[in-house]
Amino acid sequence: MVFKLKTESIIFRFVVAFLIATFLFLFLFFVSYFISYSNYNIIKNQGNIINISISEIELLGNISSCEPDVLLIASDKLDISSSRLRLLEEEFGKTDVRVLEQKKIYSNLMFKHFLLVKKENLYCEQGFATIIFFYSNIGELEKESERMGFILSRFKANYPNKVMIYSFDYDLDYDIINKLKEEYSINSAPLVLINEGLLLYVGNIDDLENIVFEANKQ
Amino acid sequence: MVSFYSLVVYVLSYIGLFAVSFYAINLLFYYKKEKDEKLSSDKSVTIIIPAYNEEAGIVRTIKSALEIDYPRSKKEIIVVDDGSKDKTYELALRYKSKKNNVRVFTKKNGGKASALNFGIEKARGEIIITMDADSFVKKDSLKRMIPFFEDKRVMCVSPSMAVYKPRGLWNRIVQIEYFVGVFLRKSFATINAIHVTPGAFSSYKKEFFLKHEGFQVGNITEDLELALRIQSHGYRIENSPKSVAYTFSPEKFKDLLYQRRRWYIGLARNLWNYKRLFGFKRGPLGYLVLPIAVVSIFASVFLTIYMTSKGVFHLWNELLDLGSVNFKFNNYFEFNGFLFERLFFSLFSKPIFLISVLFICLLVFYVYFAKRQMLYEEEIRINLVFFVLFYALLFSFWWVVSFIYLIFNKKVAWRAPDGV
Repeated sequence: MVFKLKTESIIFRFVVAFLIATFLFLFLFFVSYFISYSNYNIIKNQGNIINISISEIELLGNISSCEPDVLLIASDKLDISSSRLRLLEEEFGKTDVRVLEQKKIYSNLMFKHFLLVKKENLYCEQGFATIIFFYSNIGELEKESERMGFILSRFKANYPNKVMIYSFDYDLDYDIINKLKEEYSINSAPLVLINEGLLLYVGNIDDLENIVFEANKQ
Repeated sequence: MVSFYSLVVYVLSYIGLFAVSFYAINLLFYYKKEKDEKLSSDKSVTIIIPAYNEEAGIVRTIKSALEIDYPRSKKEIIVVDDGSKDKTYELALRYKSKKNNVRVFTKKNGGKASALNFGIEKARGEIIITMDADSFVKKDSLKRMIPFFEDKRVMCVSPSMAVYKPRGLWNRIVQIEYFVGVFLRKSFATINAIHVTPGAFSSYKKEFFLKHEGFQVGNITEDLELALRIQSHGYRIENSPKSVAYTFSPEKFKDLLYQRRRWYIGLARNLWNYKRLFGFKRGPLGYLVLPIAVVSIFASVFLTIYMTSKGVFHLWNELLDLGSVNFKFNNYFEFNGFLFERLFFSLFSKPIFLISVLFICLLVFYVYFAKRQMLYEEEIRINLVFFVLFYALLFSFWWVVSFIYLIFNKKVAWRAPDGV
């Protein structure tokens, strides 16, 4: 005596379960993509925030104020934009056209900030240490870049009001980045340019600390 | 590009979604509610209480058996003292009574299965009910179980298990686990796929023991072995969710680990011994429920380790990221908006996070469904939170320990050295 269920009943249950599971699975993927896309739209529309920052920075460039706070606030805004950009990279991938498009806007913004800091250092003797970080997202270099980025993040956290760090994608084909690479003879990544003079492969936060502040004294 | 591990995670998640959908369909559309509402006392029953060093709980269990609402002439209670070293036998003897049909025996220690078999030999009832000496039941439980035996194919009816007044973290987590068990057993009953029957208050037709022998002596999960044996002979195991048996779950982590190690090793060994149950010949039990049970063990261990390590790594990156924007929890209140924005997009843009949220919603549905079935009134929300936070980690840990014991073929006794 063996208990048997009606085959039709079981097949029907399987079909319904399959349809529900597939619908839920695809629906959740759709929702997650929709949320990622909303994030992209927010960032894109935040052209506003970026534009405000750009105009703020440009305005600063035109006035002869030696007040460092405005620069630091602009730097904080840049950092937030950078954080949003990293999230976008996670969602769409580092090579996605939308990500690269935003990255160019961000690079432009950073470059303007960099020029302003240079000017302030020259005319107002602010003494900001500038670090330009060229990173790469290609193959093994990505991990090396992430490690170096980690050290730089830590370093910036230690000296938020003394150090300005600008990160550029070495492989991004963009005028500003190409110009920087040419001007400072950058032929590989990851690499940092300290105070526009010293090129360095950063392996240790202590070394970085010594070098940056030594270079700044000179 | 999707990594290999991510692909495995999504495939397992899809299988999980399919399984929970299937179980929910079974329960919502195929469970015959009227069966569970019927009360009957037309069969004679014998409640067997095996006891070894149970002086703390034996009196309460005998009293609970006496209080079960069932005609006195048709209800017999047999207490089998399995060579206890404490006062279990003396305490049980106080309740020996011809009027109430309570008989008390003592024998040389031989393990729970041997005590149960001893009781079965002495039993006069058509239906045998096993009752753990540390448990007690709702008064109407027995009358709710008996109608299921009208079907000649039914050899066993399983109850719902509940933790009595859960105390401490581990008890609270186990309470929710039992609720999930109630839901699943009820769902499995619709496709005759129950493969675990709790020892606390399961009922069996005596004719099964006469035809196919009693509990397997020496088996560390003798109730599980019996359930698989019933299935292997092609009979049915039913479930009566409103028949609630309360038990005491270990309060200490070490004691709970001992219990789970025994259960899981017992499950693994018995499934191996009954591997013939796998496959299409045995219906949904063989081609769906048992394979998914096995896959879910490995999947849970893999997913927990993978997701936890990835989660910790992700959290670390998030903190670094926040560090890079000079976020300080105490100072920069204006940054909070950005923190929430980032957290929201960072989590909800990941399909696996949304799938996890869906599983949690299904869990809540399972638990509240079971709670309603059992007419359980106590508040369980905080216990649900503990379950969601810790159960996966605990489950994986218990299984990893059990795997180690299995691989090295270490001996596991029914009772741990300190009597758990």
